[in-house]
Amino acid sequence: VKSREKSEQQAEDAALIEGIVVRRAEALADLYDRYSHLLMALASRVLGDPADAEEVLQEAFLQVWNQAGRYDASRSSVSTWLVLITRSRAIDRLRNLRVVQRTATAAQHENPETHASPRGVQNVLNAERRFRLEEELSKLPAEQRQVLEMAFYGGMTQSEIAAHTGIPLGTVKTRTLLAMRKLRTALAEDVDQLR
Amino acid sequence: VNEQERKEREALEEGRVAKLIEELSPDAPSGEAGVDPEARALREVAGLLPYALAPRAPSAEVRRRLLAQVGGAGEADRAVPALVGARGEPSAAAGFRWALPLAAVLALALAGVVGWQELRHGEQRRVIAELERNLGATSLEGAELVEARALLARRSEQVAMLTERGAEICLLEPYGERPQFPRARATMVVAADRSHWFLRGERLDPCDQGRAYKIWFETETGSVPGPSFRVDGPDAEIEIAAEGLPEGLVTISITLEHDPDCETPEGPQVLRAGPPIRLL
Repeated sequence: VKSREKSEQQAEDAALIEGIVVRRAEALADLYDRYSHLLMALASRVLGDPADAEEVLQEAFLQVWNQAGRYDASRSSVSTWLVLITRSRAIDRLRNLRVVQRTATAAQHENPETHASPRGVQNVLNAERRFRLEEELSKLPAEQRQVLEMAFYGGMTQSEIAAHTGIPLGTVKTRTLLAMRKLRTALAEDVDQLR
Repeated sequence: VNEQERKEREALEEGRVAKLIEELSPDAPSGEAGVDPEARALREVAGLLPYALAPRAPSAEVRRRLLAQVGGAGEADRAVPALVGARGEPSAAAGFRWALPLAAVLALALAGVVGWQELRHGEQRRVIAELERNLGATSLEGAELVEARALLARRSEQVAMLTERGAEICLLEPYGERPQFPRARATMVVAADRSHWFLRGERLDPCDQGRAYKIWFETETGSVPGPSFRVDGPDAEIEIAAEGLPEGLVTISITLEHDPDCETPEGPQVLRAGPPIRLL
């Protein structure tokens, strides 16, 4: 049943994008209600500042409004597309703010549990996915998780990570590959549902 | 040679994944021909990473500003869906295409819940009938009579809520993959006009000295404390009824607290509400 519910979510997401393409504001409102908590968490994690994160969130949804026609279902699910839009905008802002150093440090030391709060969980499926992600990320060796977080949340290239951490570039690449492979295997069910 | 080939393949794979991570973009790079399924899968893995973060509520102002900018003034003022069922119910934007399959799924879910509730319902009816018989046949006096009448009124009200069109039923189930109290269950019924609710819990473990279970209403702006209650014996059933629900309700949970008067949840989460079923 849960698998079916998830598939329906994907289908509903796609229908909302179609609604946005034809300029239906209520479709954007629905999409916002579904994903604003997730994307706010992402923008906050990248930028560290709630006010900056809210601006990025608004910009991201405006981009969705203006570019929904460019969404390509063969490249990614709607949720991943939204995550990548928000991440790109947050990292652009991060670079503009010249705070790469600060976030990279945070990515190394931050305990994800410091964010733990039951507030705003929109639905049980998201909560389940969150616990699974937390669990799978916690299974990664710390050094693999570190490079993954620096790349994803810090927007750092592999060379920048190597320079920042003093780890050889080849090792950074190996750790990234191993982390992604493990997550790819562990999250196979989620990934298949998103495809 | 094999080892050399393996190393080369590994190096190529490392380079490919590193490039993919570095170039994560919502749009296709110019000149990209087709979509590599493995690249797609890895992109989805990256897209899942933020799910590990605790969700954060942006201020309501962001939504208002955004919708005002796109000309959706009416939507800007629309309340965020009240209960967690926002995803479970067909949205207007989802369109007719999904209405039938979604209705079928909801009907199946509803049939399960209603069937389960019907058992309870029958039990409640029997209790009411018995109470009425007792009231008629005996000469209860004073406090006993008041208590019996109050119980009768409560049961009647619960049965009425369970048959009321538009009422919502939420099942609260153990939280997380390794729940602390895997047998515990609760059902919350919310009146159609959301003016009152009742919660029935069962198989909750007895509370240690000084501890109590506490109901939390998780809203867009934070957790609002609800009533607390103790369970003193094994397999005891509890019932709680109260009036009113906070605005912007997102979900409902029950924690086990050292301080029953705490203003924010501190103890372990025991139960959490699933999507509500609205009675048609």
